[in-house]
Amino acid sequence: MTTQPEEAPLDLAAARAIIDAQRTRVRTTAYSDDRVIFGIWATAWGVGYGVLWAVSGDGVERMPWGAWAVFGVLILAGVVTTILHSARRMSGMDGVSRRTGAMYGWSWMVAFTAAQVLLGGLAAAGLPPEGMTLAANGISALIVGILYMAGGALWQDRAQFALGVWMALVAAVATLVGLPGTFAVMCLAGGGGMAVGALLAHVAQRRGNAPRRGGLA
Amino acid sequence: MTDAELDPVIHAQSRLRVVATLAALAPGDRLSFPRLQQLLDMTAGNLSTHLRKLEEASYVTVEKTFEGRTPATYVELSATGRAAFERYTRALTDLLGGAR
Repeated sequence: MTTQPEEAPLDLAAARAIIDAQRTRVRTTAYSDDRVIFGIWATAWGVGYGVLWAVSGDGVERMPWGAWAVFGVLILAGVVTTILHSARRMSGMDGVSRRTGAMYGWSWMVAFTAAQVLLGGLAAAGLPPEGMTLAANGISALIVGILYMAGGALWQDRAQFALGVWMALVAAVATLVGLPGTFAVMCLAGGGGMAVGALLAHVAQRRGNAPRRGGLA
Repeated sequence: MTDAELDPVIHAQSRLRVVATLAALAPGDRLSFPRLQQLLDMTAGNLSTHLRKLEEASYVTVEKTFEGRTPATYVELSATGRAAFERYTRALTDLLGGAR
C-alpha cells in the first residue's frame, strides 16, 4: 500500500478555480464542438451549392461535371471531418453520450443512404433531370431539418431545434422555386442557416451552456 | 477553521480535480482511465492512488472490462459522489461569501 504524501492545504479560491477549470476543459474537449460541425456544413453547403448555382443558368443538363465534382468533394469532406471530429472528442468516453451519439450518427448515414436509393428509383422511373435535382435538394434539406429537430429534442437544445424547423422550410422552398433558384435557396438559406447555427453555438460556448453532445450534430 | 464544513475526501487538490472532472461529464457518462488521465495531466500511478481513495468513500465507480481482448478501465462518479460534490460546491460557495 503506497501512501501519498499529503498535499498542501487547498485554499477556497483555488478550489473554486480548479472546479471551473476542469468544467471548462471537459466541456470544450470531451464533447463535440457545434461551432466546428455547423461551420464545416455552412462552408460545404454555402460553397458547394453556390458553385452549382453559379453554373446552372443554362439548365441542369448543361451544368459542367466539374461543378458537380466540387460539390461532391465538399460534401464528402464535410462527412469525413464531422466523423473525425466526433470520434476524436469521444475517444475514451463511454455511457449515455456515446450510445446516443452512435445512434444519432447512424441515423444520418441510414437516412442519406436510403435517400440515394430513393433517388435512384425516381431516376429509373423516368423522372427528368430537373425533377431529380429538385428532389435531391429537397430530400437532403428535409433530412437535415428532421435530424436537427431530433437533435434539439435529444440534447434539449432549442437553437438546434429551431435550425431544424428552418431547414425543413428550406427543403420546401428549395423545391417550390424550381431551377436554378433551388441552388440559391440551398446556398443562401441552407448554408446561411448553418452559419447562424455556428454563431449560436459560439454564443452558447462563451456562456458555458453549450449542450454536451457526443455524436454528430 | 471554516474548512471544517468541506468534505475532506474531496477537499484536496488532486482529488478535487478528479471529482470535478467526472462531475463535469453529462449524466450517465464515464471515462476511460487513459482519457481521464489526459484530462487531468496526471501520472497513472498518481491517478490510481487518488481513485482508490475515492473508491473507498464510494464516490467513484471503477469498472474493469474488456473491449475485444484489450482490457479497459472506466471511471464514473457514483450517485453518492455526485451528491457529495454538490454538497461540497454549495459549502464552498457559502464559504466564499455566496459569490459564485
